[in-house]
Amino acid sequence: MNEILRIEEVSKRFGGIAALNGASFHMREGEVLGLIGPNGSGKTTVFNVITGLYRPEQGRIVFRGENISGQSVHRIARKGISRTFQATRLFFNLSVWENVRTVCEIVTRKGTGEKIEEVLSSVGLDGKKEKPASELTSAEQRLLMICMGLSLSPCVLLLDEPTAGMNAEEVAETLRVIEKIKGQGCSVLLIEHNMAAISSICERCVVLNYGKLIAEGPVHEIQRNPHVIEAYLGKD
Amino acid sequence: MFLAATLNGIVLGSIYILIALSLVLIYGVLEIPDFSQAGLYALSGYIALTVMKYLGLNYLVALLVSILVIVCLGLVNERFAFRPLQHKEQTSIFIIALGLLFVMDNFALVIWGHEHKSISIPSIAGHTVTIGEVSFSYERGLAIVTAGVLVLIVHFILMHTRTGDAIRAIIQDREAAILMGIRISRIRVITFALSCALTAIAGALIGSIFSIFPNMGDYIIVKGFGAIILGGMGSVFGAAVGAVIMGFAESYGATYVSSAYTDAFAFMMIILVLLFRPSGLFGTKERVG
Amino acid sequence: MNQWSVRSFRNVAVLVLLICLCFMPRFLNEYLLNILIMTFLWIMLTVSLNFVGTMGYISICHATFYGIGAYVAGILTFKAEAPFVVSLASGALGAGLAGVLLGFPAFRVRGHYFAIATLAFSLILSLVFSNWHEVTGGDRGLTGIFSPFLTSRGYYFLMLGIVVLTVVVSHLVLNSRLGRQLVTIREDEDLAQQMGINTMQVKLVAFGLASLVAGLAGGLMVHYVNFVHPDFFTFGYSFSVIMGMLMGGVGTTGGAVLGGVIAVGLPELLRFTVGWRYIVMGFVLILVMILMPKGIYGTLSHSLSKR
Repeated sequence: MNEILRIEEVSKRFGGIAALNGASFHMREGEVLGLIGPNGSGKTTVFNVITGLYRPEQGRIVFRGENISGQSVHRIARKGISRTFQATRLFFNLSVWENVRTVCEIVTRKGTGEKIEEVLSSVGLDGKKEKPASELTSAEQRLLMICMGLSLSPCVLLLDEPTAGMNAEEVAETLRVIEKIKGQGCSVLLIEHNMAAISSICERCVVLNYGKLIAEGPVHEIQRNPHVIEAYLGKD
Repeated sequence: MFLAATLNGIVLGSIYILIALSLVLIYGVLEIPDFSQAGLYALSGYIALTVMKYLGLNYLVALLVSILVIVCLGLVNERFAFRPLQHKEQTSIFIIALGLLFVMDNFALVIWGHEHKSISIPSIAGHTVTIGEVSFSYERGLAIVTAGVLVLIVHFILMHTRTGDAIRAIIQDREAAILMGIRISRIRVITFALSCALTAIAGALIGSIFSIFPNMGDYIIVKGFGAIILGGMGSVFGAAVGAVIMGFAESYGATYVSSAYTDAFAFMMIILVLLFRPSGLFGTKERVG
Repeated sequence: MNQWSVRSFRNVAVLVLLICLCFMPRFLNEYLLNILIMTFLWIMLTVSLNFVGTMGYISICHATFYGIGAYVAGILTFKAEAPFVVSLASGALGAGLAGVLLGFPAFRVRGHYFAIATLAFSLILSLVFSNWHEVTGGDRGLTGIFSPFLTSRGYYFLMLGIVVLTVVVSHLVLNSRLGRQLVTIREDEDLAQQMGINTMQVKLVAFGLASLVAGLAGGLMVHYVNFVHPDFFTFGYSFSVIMGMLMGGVGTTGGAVLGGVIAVGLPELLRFTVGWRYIVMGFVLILVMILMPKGIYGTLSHSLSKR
């Protein structure tokens, strides 16, 4: 499998705190890679650096062989890296359909309608087209976020705790959606605290602590890794 | 010439510091970009002028009357115009502040007319201090001294009183401050009153050095917020530094380039800063706005 | 009333209004005709500012672009004896260019910081208008700028045509992809960027378009009143445009048009209060802001479509 995304020795400070401290890992094409670590270990910061929200002080982000560090957010998005957010972020005053249209009509000038339908049905929201985003359930809203990410036809999808606040059934549905995404050839980088979800869907996993990588490998090995256990000691 | 320009810069900086502090405190504690302070600034000058000219009272009394009236007016604004929309649309509060400025501009125009006026202080008018080749009027000296004293007072309040601690806590992290039990509503009112007092003094001072005219507020508000932009949004210290820099930029620009476009230099600085370093000199935010 | 009948009612009303407007010169006297022309100018201002307002940005220098258009067009006609169309086009383009140039630094910040940048720009230009005597006539302004028409009538129909064009363009833009992107910027600018929208580009286009139309209005105004003066383009005027736009309703062309009417109509109605009319208007705005956040047009159409 080819490497599609590489985070190389990336450091990012905020005031006196190093959110990322020489973090390095890579993603292979077509895989679902888990990104785990205790709170404050820098997982969301990794997303923010990859998507161009922050410029790394050191190191670089390489996407399909190209150094994309410091490029603007919308350009990186159009190049093929999409994301969702830890706290639900949508255009709440617009309807489901309008939310997705916003993104679809950037990529496709013609046949936008079909693209919107396609993307909505892949997450199962095609029945709720007209509903204002604010009136969806919390789980549906998180699925809509994924849907919007998909509308850009990305090669890499960054999901930030997609199952947060969901019950078992909703979690299962979300995992099915992620499997489908993987099946379509898109690579997924998944931040999750739900270890059951991680182990059911990720072959490989990367562990962050204090802004640095402390372990990497198959999920069952990670779970037994003493460094990882130590990092989580005292936490759930 | 350089000395004169520098001294003039200090005078301007003194006035701007008062306004900048007023604005940054209101913004930090109440989260309101209070453009109406500009209107209060102008009204303060007019009130001081009126008290002295038509009631024949001395400058100190005029100053105190100004402060009293402006603080009361400001608190009325806070209670009835800003507080109702407190947790709602930020844009609406901003528009209301602009609206209040608009109303006050026109009020000044209607009551006092559009000619430029100035305050003369009989006891010190005409007296000057000579430093080198430069003669420096007492009025300017008064402005610098007053501003200096006020900055020290504000510094003392912020750093060495419990109220000041509360203010700084709220500015830094609102939610944490509430969790720590700080009564925001009380601090809001105190901060607003303090800021209005600073604004009032600035307005009364400037009347004795330069002129008073109905939309003088429009100029000062740009300089006040410009100082905050320069110094870095979110930083009280930065605002003060920015104000002084603004004063110098304006003074040197007026002396060495052109005095007709005096104000334009300060304004150009703002636009240049936005172009190259939007987070300002001491900016605490990664992304702006 | 369902959505369709509200729409048809509105379309018919607009058509009837247009027909009436075409016949106005026959029935109205000079004074009222003048008011209508001023209303058309203000509608151009509120409709163009609406592009910026729809994005969620408050610009306090719209009267300044009006001024740039007026001065450029006025100076070309008066000093270079340029043809009317050339002057108008230059005024509009000059203002549009100024808008894009201001946008580069100004759009790096948002909210009231953006407003400050626009106000700073407005004050700088005011100083230029007042002090550059050789070109702008300084504090005395410029007089004797010839109108291409001999009567108000000709001017009236020209303005009517241009206003209708402006309104149509606004309607088309707001319902296009660009218009929708303006809304996303207001809703959540960072999210819009993350979804691949080049927000800086969108903002510059909207702002440039808004300032272009304002400049065009300025050029038209100066040839109508034959006079230009720095006092026409102050913070008070910029804010009056904002007031009109807000009271009418941001985000829709209809709201903006209503806003233009209010901006002219309200001071006329309040004539009896003389100098106090702007103060009253300011208070009215503040009340409207608190009670009807969607503006008058927005609140009406919202409640009508809900029935």
